[in-house]
Amino acid sequence: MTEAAESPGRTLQAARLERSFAVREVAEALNLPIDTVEAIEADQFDRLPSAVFARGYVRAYAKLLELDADALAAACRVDASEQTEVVPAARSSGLMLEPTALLGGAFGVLLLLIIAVLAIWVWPEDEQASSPLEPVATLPQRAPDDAVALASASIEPTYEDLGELAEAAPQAGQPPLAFDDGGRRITPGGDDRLEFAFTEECWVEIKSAAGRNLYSDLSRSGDSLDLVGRGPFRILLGYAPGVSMSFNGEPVALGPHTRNNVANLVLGQ
Amino acid sequence: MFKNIRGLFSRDLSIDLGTANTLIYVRDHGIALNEPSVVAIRTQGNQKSVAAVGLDAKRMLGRTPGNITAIRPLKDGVIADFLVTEKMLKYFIGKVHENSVIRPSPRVLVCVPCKSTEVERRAIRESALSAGARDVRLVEEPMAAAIGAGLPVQEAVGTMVVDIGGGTTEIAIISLNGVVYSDTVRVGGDRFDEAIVAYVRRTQGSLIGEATAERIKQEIGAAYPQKEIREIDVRGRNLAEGVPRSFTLNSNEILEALQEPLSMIVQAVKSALEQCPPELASDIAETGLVLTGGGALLRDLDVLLAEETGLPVIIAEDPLTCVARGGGKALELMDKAGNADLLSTE
Repeated sequence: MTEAAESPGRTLQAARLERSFAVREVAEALNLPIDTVEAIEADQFDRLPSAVFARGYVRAYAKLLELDADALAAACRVDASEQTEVVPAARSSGLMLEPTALLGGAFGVLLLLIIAVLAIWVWPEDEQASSPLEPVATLPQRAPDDAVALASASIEPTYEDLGELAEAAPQAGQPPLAFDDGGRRITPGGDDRLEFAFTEECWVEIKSAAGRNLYSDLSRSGDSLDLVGRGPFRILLGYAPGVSMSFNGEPVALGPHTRNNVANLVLGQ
Repeated sequence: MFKNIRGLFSRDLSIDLGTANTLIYVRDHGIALNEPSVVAIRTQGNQKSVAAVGLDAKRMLGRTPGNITAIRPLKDGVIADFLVTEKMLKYFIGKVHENSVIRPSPRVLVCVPCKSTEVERRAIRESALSAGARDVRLVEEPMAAAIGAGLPVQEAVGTMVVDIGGGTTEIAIISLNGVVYSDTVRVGGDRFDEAIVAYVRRTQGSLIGEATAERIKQEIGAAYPQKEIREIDVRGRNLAEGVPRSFTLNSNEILEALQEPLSMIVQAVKSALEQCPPELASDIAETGLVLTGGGALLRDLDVLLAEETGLPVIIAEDPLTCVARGGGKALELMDKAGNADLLSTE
């Protein structure tokens, strides 16, 4: 286990005691109130002014004790990123277009129409050749990138995960990221169950409400997938007609969420 | 109208037009470009043409033949050469739209120093417009830096940002989406390099170039005495003998060399604190000040400022890109609020 795998506060406290510094000495060196240093050591980052400062203080404290400042600051990243990511999430739900953008959009549609008319007029036989399945065919190409993202996401220990782990370990006696009763865990807590059955090849991507990638992979025809975690989930299915899915045992109709065979839906709100 | 159509094929950009580096943040994509603000100009008779821009041009600095001049079109954060800046911006905007067939015409937000004059801001605006932007907004650099660092700028709480760039250091106290106090000192990474060049000349009797000085600063430079002394071997031209000579410098010598520019930054921070309204001063005393910009990467600069001011000092995450990222977020905030004047300045 690395330093950051333990909670940042505890790591710092242990390092401080090892060097036999008093809390007061640390507070004086960092020009911070004693309360703040104690809050950091107790991992009570909500007592600090904001996430940015919390990470900054942790980094300065780690530097003072000659520890790996970046790893420790990163360990208190999750709770902070969830606070700050509220803004972009809200932005994506409400589309606010400026008048100029709308005007631009109208021009764009007009331009595309002209191009389409010209294309039909000049090459009438080419029109039939274009296949509606094209977007689906491009999806598997994204697999390596997403796999890398998933791999890096799962390696990086996060503070939230660790907090959950510390709570869950004594009771359950097994790491929460493992498979349990057939379902694969994609978040540390929660018992929302997503089940998929595939009759065609289909790309599956599941993200948390904050936009964190929880699962992404290509499923083949005949595969089934059973995932457990805490909702809400943002789900993207690359080829919806080839999938049937259920959420907490209830079948989900994909039709209303499907456009061009790609389904986009949010479950567990 | 054509700009509007071309705008459909362009992305919103936030540009940190710095003296040393230009960074471009593409909305929803992140930092797309980080290159030195250097342009190499080739002169043939009366004809001038651009030979290289950015990284390629920086490699040419100080190594050019007679017909090529590598220049930095910005000085102290403002435009020193209008035409060359325009060429550079055009090249950079084109570079982030490399895959686009149609000439891009993006909406652009440019970060400007607080103490830049009306004329200087107008020059930046015009330059971006001539480079193809369809709409240009200006935001003060420390405001962008604070947003990029993730500080709560919209709240009625004072936060202090010290953005140490290549040419200038911007100090600002921000509250409620506005700058309460700001000051610019013309000291930054470049002045650190110049101080090292002058020191080596004085003590070693040798002349080194700015690129070497920058390397010395990055490898062994520090703002506060270090526990462990580091050394570096450098080569420069000996002034007495006129031939290249190799010599060794250590971190304590560089610390001594940097004393003058560092004390100017410390003085400016102190005077900002002196002139700060009392309510905001108490907020800052509680939370501390935040360092951004490339200068924040100088070893133990936070320790020096913490000792001199008696305040907690934190370094923002990824300080080099804070301004560009903050500009991008500012664009989003303006769109969200439906108010183009929310954070922008004229």
